[in-house]
Amino acid sequence: MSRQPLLEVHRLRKYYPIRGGLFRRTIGQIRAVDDVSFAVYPGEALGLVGESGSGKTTLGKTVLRLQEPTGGRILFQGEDLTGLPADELQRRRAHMQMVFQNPYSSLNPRMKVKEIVAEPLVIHGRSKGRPLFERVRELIRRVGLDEAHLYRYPHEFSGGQRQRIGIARALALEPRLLVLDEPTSALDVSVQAQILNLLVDLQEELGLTYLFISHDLGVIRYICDRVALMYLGRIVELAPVETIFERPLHPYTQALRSAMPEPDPDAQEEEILLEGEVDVVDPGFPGCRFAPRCPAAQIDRCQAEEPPLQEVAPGHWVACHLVESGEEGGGGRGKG
Amino acid sequence: MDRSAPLVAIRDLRLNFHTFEGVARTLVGVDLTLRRGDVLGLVGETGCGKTMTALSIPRLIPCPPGEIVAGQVLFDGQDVLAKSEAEMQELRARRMALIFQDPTTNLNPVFTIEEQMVDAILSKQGIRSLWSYTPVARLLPTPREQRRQARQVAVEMLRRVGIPQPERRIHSYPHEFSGGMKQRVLIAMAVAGRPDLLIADEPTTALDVSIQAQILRLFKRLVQEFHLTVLLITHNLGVVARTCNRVAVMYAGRVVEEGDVRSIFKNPQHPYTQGLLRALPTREHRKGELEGIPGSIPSPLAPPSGCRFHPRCPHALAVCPEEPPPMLPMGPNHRVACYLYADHGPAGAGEDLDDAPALLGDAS
Repeated sequence: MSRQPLLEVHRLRKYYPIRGGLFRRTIGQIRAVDDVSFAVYPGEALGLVGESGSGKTTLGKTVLRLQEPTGGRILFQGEDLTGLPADELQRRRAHMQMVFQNPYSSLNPRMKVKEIVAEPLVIHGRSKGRPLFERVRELIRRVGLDEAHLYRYPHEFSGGQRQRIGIARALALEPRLLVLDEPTSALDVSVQAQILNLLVDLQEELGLTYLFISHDLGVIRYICDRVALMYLGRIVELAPVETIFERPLHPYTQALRSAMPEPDPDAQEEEILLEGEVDVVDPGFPGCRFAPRCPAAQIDRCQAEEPPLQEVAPGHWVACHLVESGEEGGGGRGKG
Repeated sequence: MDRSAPLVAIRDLRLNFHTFEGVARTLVGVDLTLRRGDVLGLVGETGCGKTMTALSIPRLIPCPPGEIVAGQVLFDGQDVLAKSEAEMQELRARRMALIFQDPTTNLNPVFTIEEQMVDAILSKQGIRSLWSYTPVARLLPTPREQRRQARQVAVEMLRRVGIPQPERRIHSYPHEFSGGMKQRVLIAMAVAGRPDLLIADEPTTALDVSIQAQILRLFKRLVQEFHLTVLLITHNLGVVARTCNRVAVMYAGRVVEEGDVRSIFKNPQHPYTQGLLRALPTREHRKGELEGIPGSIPSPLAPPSGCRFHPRCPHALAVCPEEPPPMLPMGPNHRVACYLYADHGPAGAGEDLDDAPALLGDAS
C-alpha cells in the first residue's frame, strides 16, 4: 500500500518487571510486547489475534500510551508519540480512542449516560451547554439508543446497550482511530451480531480506522481487512484476512485456524492439535518462542535463533524459519 | 435396568424464583430427554435457563428462593423431586458428576490436588457401609488403606486426562496449574467416580481456543471410554457442532427446538435457532451482511405473553402472543415449538404444515 499509514508502530517493546527477593528488586522481566512493528492505514480494520498472554491487549494500550512503552516508536499521522509531554499527548488522544472489553466495569456506575458520553467533550473543552447536549443526543442516536436513555444509569442497561454507550463515548471526539479491545466477547451471539454490524456501519460512515483486538477468529474474519497474529509478545504472521484463513503459513496460525470450532457438524477438518499451553519461555532462550509447542518439523535453527518477521509475498509477513520467502501455499508444516 | 429407557427425562418443568422485584418465571415448561450415550448440547443465550435446567437433575437449584411449581424430573426412572435429601446425596455421589465453567473457583486453593481428589473419590464410594460396624470390618480395608487406594485411582485418572507426571503433580496446589490443566483435574475428579451422567456447564468458555480444542478432544475420548451420557451446556454453537450428537435450543425458559445435531444445523426450523445460526460470523459472511436478532432477551420478571420469542420474531403470527406453542414433531428426531408448523393451531394460524418450511426456506 502506498498510502501514508495512519498509525505506524516501530519496534515497540513493553516489558514488565518481575520483582522479588529482598527490597523487591527487579529479578526478571516479562516481555509482554517485544519488538513489534506494524502499520495501520486509514480506513482499514487491522485485527490483532492471540490467546491470553500473547500481549495483544498490552499492545493496544501501549499504542495509545495508556501504558508507557519500554522502547520503540509510535507514529500517529507521521508524528512520534513516544516523546510527547502529557498535555500534548492528550490533544493527540482526541484522534485515537478506545472501546473496552467489559461493558460492566468500563462505565462509571454513578454517572448518567448523558454525563458519560459528554465527559470527553467536556475534558477536551469542545463544547458546553446547548451544543454539548445536542452532540450527546446525536451520538446516542447514532449508536442505536434512544434519547430517553440519556437520563439513566449504566446498571439499567443490558450488556449490548452498555457497549453501545461505550462506543458513543469513544466517538464523541470524532477520532480517526479506534482501538477496540475485545468489544463483543462479553456479549451473547445475537447481541454480538448487532454490535458488529454497528461497528461496520460506523466505519463506513465516519471513515474510521480500527485496531480490533480479539481472540475470536470468526469475529476477526468478519470485521477486519488485515490480521496480525501474536504469540508471546511477537507478531508471528501478518497478512490480508483471506490469506490468513485460506493460506496461513505459520504453524501457529494453521493450528489456531483448525482449533476454531465452526458451527457446522460436517466441517470436521483435520485438527492440528497443539500440545502444551502458552508458557512464558525463559528470557535467555534464543530460539523461536513457539518452538516448544510447534507441531511442524523442528530444525536446529528454531532452537537457536529467533525468526524475524519477513515479507514472503506482497503484504504477507511471517516469522518462521520453515517458511522461505516467495513460497506460496503449502505452508511451513512438513517442510524442513 | 432397562437400557432403552431414557437416562434423564424432564417433563414440563416449571421453576419460579422469588426475588425482591417479584416472581421471576425462570423455567416455563421445559421438556428434555437424554437417552443413554447421548451427548446433548443445551444451547441458549444468557439467562435462558440452561444452567437451571441442568441443575434440576441433581436437584441443586437453591430452594428458596427457587420454587419448582410443576413438572417431573426422572433420573433412570426415579423421580428426583420426590427423593429425600439422603437418597439424593447417594444418587449424586454415585451416578452424577458436574463440571463448571471456571476451573479456578471450583478447586479449593488451600488443599493440594491429592487431598481434593482423594476426598472426592472416597465420598463417591459412599458413606461407610453397615458392614464396618460388624466383626467383618476387620476384613475390610482400613481407612489408611482406602486412602492409599483412592490415591492410586487419582494418579491413574490424572494420567488419563493428560496431566504429565501425575505422581509428582498430584502434590501441587491448584494455583500451580494453568486454567486448562485445572479443568483437566476437575474432569478427572468428575469421571473418577464412574458416573452415568456428566453435566458440563460451559466447560471450555474460560479457556483459550487451542486449549479448548484439547479439552474437547479429551472429552470425546472420555465419553467413549467411560460410556458417559453428557449434558453439555454452552452458548458456543461451534463447540456443539464439534462435540454433540443432539442439540436442544432454549429461549427464555423453554426448549424451543431439539433434534440431532445435523438436522438442527442444516435444517433449523425455529426462527430463534435460525437467527442464532445466522448471527454467527462464518466464512460465508462478508462485511455488513451479518444478521443479528433484533431486540434483546426478555426479563423473566415481565416476559412477553404466549411464545416468548414473538416480539423478536420476523414471522410472528396473530396467535403467537396468545398462548405458548406446543412442541411439534418435524421428523423422526426433530421437534420444534412454533406455530409456523401447526397445521391447525388456535384461531389465526393460517399456515399449512407444507407451506411453512418453504416460507422459512426463503428467509434462511
